[in-house]
Amino acid sequence: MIRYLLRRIAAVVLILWAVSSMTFFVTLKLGDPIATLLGPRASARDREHVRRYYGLDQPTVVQYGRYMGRLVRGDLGMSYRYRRPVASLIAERFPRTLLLAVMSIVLEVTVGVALGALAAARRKTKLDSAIMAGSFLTMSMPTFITGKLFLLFIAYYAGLFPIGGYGVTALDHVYHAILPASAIALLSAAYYARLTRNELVEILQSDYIRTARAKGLSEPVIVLRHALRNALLPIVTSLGLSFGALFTGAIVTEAIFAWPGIGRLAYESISGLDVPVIVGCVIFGSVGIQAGNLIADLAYAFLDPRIRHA
Amino acid sequence: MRSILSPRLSRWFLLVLVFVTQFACKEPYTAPRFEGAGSATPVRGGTFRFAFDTDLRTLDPAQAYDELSTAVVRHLFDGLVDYDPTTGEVVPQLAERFEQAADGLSYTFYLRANLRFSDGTILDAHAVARSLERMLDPRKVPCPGTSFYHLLEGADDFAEGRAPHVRGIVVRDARTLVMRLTQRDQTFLNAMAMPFAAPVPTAYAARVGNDHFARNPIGAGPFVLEAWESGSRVVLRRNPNYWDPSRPYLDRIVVELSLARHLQFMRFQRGDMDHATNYTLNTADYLMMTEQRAWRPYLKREPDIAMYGLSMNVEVTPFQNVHLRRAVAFAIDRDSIARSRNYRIVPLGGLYPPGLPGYDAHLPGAHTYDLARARTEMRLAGYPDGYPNEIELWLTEGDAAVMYGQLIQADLRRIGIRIRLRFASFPVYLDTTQRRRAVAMSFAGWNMDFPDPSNFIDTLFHSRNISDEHAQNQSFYANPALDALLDRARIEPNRARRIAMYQEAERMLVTDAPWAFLFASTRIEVEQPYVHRGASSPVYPHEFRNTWLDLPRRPFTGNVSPR
Amino acid sequence: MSTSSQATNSSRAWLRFKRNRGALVGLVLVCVVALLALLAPALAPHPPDVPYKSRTLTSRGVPIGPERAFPLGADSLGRCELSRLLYGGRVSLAVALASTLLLAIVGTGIGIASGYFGGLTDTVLMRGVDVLLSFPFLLVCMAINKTVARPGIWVLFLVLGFLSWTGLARQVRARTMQVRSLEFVTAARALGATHSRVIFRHILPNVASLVIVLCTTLVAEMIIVESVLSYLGVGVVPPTSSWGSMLQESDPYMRSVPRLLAIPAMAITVTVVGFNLLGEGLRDALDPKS
Repeated sequence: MIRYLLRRIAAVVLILWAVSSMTFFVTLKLGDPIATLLGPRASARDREHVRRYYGLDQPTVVQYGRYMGRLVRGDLGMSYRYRRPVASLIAERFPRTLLLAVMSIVLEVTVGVALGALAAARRKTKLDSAIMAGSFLTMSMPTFITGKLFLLFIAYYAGLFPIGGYGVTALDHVYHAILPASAIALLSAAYYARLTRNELVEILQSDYIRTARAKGLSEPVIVLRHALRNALLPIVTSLGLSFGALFTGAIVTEAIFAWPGIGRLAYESISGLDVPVIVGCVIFGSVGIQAGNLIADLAYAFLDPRIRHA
Repeated sequence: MRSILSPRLSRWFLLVLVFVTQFACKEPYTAPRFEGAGSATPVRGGTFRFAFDTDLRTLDPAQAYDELSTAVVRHLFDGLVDYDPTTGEVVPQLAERFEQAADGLSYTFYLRANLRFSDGTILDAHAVARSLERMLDPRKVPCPGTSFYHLLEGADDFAEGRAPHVRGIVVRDARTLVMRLTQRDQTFLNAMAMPFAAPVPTAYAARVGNDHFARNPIGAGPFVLEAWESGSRVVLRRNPNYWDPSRPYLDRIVVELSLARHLQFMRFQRGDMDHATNYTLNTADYLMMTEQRAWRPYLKREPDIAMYGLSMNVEVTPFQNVHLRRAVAFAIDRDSIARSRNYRIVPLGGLYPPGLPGYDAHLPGAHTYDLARARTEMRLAGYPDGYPNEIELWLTEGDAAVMYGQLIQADLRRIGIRIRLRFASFPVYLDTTQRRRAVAMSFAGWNMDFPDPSNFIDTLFHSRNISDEHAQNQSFYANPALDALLDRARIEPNRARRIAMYQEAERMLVTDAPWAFLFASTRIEVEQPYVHRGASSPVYPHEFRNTWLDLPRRPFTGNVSPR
Repeated sequence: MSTSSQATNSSRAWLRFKRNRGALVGLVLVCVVALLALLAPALAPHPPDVPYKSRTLTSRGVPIGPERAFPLGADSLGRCELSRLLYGGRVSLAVALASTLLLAIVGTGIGIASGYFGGLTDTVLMRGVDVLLSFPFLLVCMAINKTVARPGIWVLFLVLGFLSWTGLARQVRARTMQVRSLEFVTAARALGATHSRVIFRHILPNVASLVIVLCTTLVAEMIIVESVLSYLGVGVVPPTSSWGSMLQESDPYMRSVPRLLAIPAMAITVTVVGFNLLGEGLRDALDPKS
């Protein structure tokens, strides 16, 4: 187990090195901090000083060396637009993105599994068909369309939620997060509902369930106690994968709901060509994805006894 | 796996559709929700809320040059001088008075007594001198505006590190400061009214670090920073030690950051925001507001001193050809572009927008939409059947530019000029369009730094501003006669004569058409009925130091008459 | 016993029937959308990028609603909304189909190579996949679209195609490994068949159904990604329309002209539903194993 973990970590480090190097070279020519910082009227002297401040007067190799050297120490460089450490920009926004991610995961799992279990328990009824049809349609609806509809109807016309933003107090943050989290969760919830139902239907036909039934256990008990646990395995895997993506994957939702998280930071830094922030967000995102993968693997190993013993 | 698709599905679709259209027809907020108590005199207290669609970058006055940073900085920092809200003249602020020497080469500022920064540090002539030097020192802060102060004697030596201080900034005594220029300059006071020149506590800035200062600013303005939640909101609180005890009226100002315009406006209509401007109002929202009778009295519009046009690089094929430039200038249907923006922009035939000294409503030869004339010019240019190659038009990103670009493209197609649109982010746009022979045509604009024609014409058309890179004169138009005229105008002390010279210069530009002048923008503002905007700065529109709220606010009846 | 098995048989048949119906509807939807897009030049009442401002915008600049000459009304610049929808569908579909084709070729190639040859080839290729998978996809698409000098349909197609083959490659690799260990393949190798012969004769036909099924749903995904990118303003360049850019343009008109939001949103949803249904139907028909 430990050797496995060590090998995994080594692979992660290698991957991160590849990702950060590629990102560095791709974005190298993307933007120059001068226009971003100094605007249209700056003097040549001021421009020169800014170039030196960001080390852009150095040859590419030196820049790359410095960048890697800093990266090892966890320093992602200085933002052009804010003239602040990228790491602290990300650190400020990460809790917000995390809140959104956690809330949407909680929503999508509870709603998805509940609907899936319901459909499986009432399989081949109208309810089952309705849930499956609804989830199919929902899965075909891009998040940014659902997000806009939520905003328009639930927040504005119905007046039930704030119109975008982040709020002030902790409770306020949660309140503000409900709509964007639901918009993100909707698609995955639909996916999980289908996954859960199909897994359950298969499991419910298996021998040990038949035994349970023969023992006279009631259907809800069978579904909840015996079948659901096993049906959750594939969900755990895909959760781990999607969790990583949520680190930066909420770009669209954050844009629609003006949620000041990492996605928004990334989006704004791309339109403002704030290269250090773009690179920082990409690296942070891939760290998130790697972490998600690792967690998924571990959780899978933990839940599935066959893998643990192997 | 089983998939279900039956008539049920289409019924579902239909249901959603009905639901959507049902709701969309019902606009819940067709009237303001609150109005004021009806107080005749200013009331102190209350929180004023507005929003911006961009994020706040910095609160260091020496670094603030974008709209939002400047807006917030102006509440935290006062300058030696400011603009009079009614006349637009430069008037004393932290300075009690100022005078210009007879030779026009030096200015003396007399500071008010007992000035302090909000943290209690003494603000005297020494503090002003040190903070000007901080701004001019490229080793300390990247200031976007040092070029406004390059005429200060010794500013160059100082910035190059050859002198410990700027020679031209002389502290005569604790309350008297003299500034000497190397040349006469009628816009120096304007430069001193810009936030770049606002005094900051330099010792504090040096202690916490200049980059850190930009997030934890201390100034001598009517407000102090209470909180800045990055990317989310900024809260300003009244400065209890402000030198003018009668100001400000408001206890707090809350600025929401990075909030898309349509969201801002939904909030405004719901009563969650107190103020909305162009920066809030989309085309569609503006229209809604004008249609709703109850809102209409609270909608204000005034000229915004900014102009837009098409810059044609006269060094690049095909725009060396003056006839082709003129053809472009006369081919664009400005009125119909203005209409698709609901006339929130006004057609403009010359360089100076309405409201700017020198604006001439009857400018001879002004650019207008005249298709016949444009076709004649195409013939004269040698392209009776249209210009054979595609021309790339550079624009910055943003909804408005996307719209203008497509309309201009369609208009120019009618005289046989094919355009390919090239949208770039602002840094790339600047970098490329300001490089020699890099771009043939760009959509450009100019928003004033201060209300003086020189700020438009010198910046954009003086050959001094041509260089291989970062050329402000992005049409690379060089005309010795124009240069000479502008140089004379810059130092001309007689205001009327000076303005006349600038108008003559504008006529040269209209004829030579290095730009096709297109339109000027207007500023549209709407406030909740209980908001008394107060006198506002003619240069910095987002300013609320004279604003007060008619509290307590009450449910809207429409009885309290708007101002 | 016999009655119950008959029942399951008939219920299976009934299920299959139902499945086919879904697939059929998907197929019809896809065909209709594809036809509309293909015939856009013939069907569109107007060129998509001509603003008919004096006819289609009211004196205050409001786009007119549906009328005879403009069946879906006008957009915010006074252009024919129907024409933009049709031409936009062309762009959205073309980008989605072309990039899916590209990713299918790349993904299948790499998946088969990796699964068939194994060893070092496999390790190198799969580590490459790991690297690519750990890029935040949308962010990288946006960043790349920013770096290129001339963004547009071509860039979009290449970026989407070259960045999204990883999932497919992994599945193809797994299937290839299964097929490779089957008896008839080992027998062919033993009889001296060349690698290329084995791959083209035996492996490819066996993974083809998997690829087709996966690709059908990937088209749907590409349509969404394209619209997201265009919505974020890094997709197609105006005046070219795509469904995503139409959605973006509709943002300010969300409340006053909800039609501008609803039309492209419906187009995207219907097309995606179509491809998903078709994909699911194909899976049941072609590749029941997965």
